[in-house]
Amino acid sequence: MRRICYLVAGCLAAVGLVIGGIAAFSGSFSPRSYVDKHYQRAASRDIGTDARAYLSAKPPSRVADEISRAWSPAGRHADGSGVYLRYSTDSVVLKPNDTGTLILVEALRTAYSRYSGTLGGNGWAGYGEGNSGRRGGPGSGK
Amino acid sequence: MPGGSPRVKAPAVSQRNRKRLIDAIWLGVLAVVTLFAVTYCSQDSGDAVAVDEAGAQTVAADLARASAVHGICYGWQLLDSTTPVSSGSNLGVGVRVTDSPERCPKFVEVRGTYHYYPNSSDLEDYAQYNIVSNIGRSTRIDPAGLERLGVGANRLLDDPAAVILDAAEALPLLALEAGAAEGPVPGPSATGTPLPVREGGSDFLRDRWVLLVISGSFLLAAALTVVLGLLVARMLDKVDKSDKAKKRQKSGKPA
Repeated sequence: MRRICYLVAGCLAAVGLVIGGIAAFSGSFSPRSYVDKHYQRAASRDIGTDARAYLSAKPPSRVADEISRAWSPAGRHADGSGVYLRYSTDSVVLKPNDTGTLILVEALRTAYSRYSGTLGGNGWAGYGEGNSGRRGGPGSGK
Repeated sequence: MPGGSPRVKAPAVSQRNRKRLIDAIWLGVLAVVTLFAVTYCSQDSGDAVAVDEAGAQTVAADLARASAVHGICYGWQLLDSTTPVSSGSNLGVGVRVTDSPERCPKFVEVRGTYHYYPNSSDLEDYAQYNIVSNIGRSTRIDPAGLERLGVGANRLLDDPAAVILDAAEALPLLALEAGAAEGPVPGPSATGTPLPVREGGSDFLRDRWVLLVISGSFLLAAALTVVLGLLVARMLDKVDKSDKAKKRQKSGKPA
């Protein structure tokens, strides 16, 4: 009996460790590394040492979807000037670039002051996973 | 006998009072139950939806900047089933793009429709988008773009008043992607001190929490199985020992 219990416990622990390992080590380790891995670097479009630039042939909404699926943002904002994804310590800003997208990865602090005209009014609350909505309001479906 | 009659009547009066009291309690319970049932049946599952006026003004101003660059009017309309809740455009809050054809020969409008049914209804709440434009059939703006930008129909259902404004803000970008407009819209220049940026939490936990919870559940189940195994084994040992002791007692051997 004891042996069966240990066997079952061992199997459960093994499955738990495998899933934990997948959670910890699968894919990229941050939104910054995800962008670095999946998009073409464009050093000539960097903003000084603040923002690293990348290019994609896909439009901003598709790139935003890809990055958001890989790493859920804490806040989002999209308007005619581009898409602004906010993470814990970084930001990923997607600007229309002909038919593609210019991706700018930047530390949150400098990005926030750079784009405060667009984002400053709402503190980058956005409509991300970590926020209830930029302008608040009721929301209770059945 | 003057004092005899009250003595005989007293129990009848108290019985009547008791009956009245019981009737009153029953009526009270019935009233409360009826009130509860009526309230529950007439209750809507959502609060009244009201669009924030200041937010709508900001969006109208943003759309005006986009409209100036693209030469297209952008607007929104929110409907609770068929009842208008909110509308606006680059021309202002409450002014629809179709209200002024001379000022808006080309327009794109996002229409969000939702409805919350009462809890007692079998019908499901719903929300959907429709993008209406007159910029030509070849340049159709797909509402799926709103899903990609995180303001899809599910979010519209959660918070129609806020999300319709976010969807309206995204229209110029979607028009640009569809080839209906040219040139990105410059962001507004910063005025005043921006609000402090809010805490964003951990990216890792936000993104991987489901896997971490599943993994933790398996490890917890493993630990509980070990504990259960130990307890069962101990109980079986005890049963074995007591059986052996009984056998020894029966056979007369000393322990």
